[in-house]
Amino acid sequence: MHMEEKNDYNLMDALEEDESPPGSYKISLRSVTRKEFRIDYWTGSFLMTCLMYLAISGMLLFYYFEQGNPYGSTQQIIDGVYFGRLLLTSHLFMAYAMVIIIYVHMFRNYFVGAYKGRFRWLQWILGVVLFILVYVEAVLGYLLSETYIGVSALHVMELLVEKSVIGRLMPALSNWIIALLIGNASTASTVGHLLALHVAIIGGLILLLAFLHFFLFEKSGPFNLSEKKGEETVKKYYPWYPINLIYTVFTSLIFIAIILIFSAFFMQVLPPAYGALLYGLTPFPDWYIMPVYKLMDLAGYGLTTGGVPLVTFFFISLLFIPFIDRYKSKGALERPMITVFGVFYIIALFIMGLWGYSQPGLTQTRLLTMAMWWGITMVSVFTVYAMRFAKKDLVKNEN
Amino acid sequence: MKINLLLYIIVAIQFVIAIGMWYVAVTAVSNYETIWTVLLSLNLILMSLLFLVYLKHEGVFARE
Repeated sequence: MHMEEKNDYNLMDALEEDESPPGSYKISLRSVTRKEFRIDYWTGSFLMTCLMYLAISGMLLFYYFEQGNPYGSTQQIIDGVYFGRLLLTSHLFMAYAMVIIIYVHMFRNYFVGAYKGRFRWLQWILGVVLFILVYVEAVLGYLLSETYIGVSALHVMELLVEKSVIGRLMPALSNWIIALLIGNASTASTVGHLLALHVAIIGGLILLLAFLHFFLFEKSGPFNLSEKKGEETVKKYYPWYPINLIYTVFTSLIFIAIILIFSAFFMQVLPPAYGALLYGLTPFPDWYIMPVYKLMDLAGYGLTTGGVPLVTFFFISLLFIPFIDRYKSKGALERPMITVFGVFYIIALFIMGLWGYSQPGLTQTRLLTMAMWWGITMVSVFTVYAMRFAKKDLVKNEN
Repeated sequence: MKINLLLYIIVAIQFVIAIGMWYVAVTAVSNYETIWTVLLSLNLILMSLLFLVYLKHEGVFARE
């Protein structure tokens, strides 16, 4: 008998009608089973909430922001605009929440192996691209108010483009990227370029890719880890409207309320303007870039051979995880080396971030760097294999 | 308690809070943003409570 080979990579299948669950359309909003009303299945929904909140509050902020007078108009939003300070603070905190939830969403899907199967590999790749775009968007956002921190960050970005592999091998490309960023280097031109990138280009790309990502999710459905083979149970499906919609609104409202309470009690204070007289203030990047910032000190091999390639390696390895991971089974402990990488990333992110705050800009020796990388490697390998061993032991003794 | 009564009570509290928000907004007392935002968050949480009651009624959170 001729067996049809299973092909997970044919994207034309995405346009075909679903057979199950019943009642779904070509571009469908799926009905869900009761088992799926669990918070770890809804991390993506929180991200959509963030995206919508940021888009709406961003549109309102856009009315008051002037590209020729970035710092002054931001200060005016805080001091002069009715509810302006709340608007600006909640825009900032929602962006912070988005970065945190992106990590939660990504690592959750990484550890359960949700990038395996039909359309899911593409969903993962789109997700990593979205992750990079959100980081770019966040950085662009904090360059906009022209504080001393923002302008320092802009200078660092220019230097990174010029002195890295891009600038050394393709100077024309690096000039073009810098021109994209700063225009003719006057304040109005620079901020105008940054604003266009933040609001229209990167923001638009994020919206577009997020909906594509969501469409593929609706096609493939939530990744079900606990579904056992041969166990056929009658599932009760809840329709998208109204149950699923109401659940989404329910979680989103609580989430927005929490962010608003944070914004109410920790209202944003704008850092000093670029060009103001400052003594003894080191420009710190925001917390979500801190690990990368510290990586540049820590690599000990200089920017072009140390930090930049490491960050590039991090993103490329994440991007190609569906093709790197060839384990047949699902579950974190059944894919030990992949889990080791994940644990390594998490530990490294925290260590680099905290270290960055305690010793910003202090170059570390190569010996210390090596000791730290090997230390983290050891810890992640040992914990994962110890847990794997413990689980095997447990299963053996249960029978 | 009957479910309708519970829903009406929540909406009534929301209405009172909304009047409070309006008052804070028009008088623009000092620190009006903090007070108004806390009231808004309370209102949002009550709104989500409404949905929670509905979802519970539909049996979404019941154990199988």
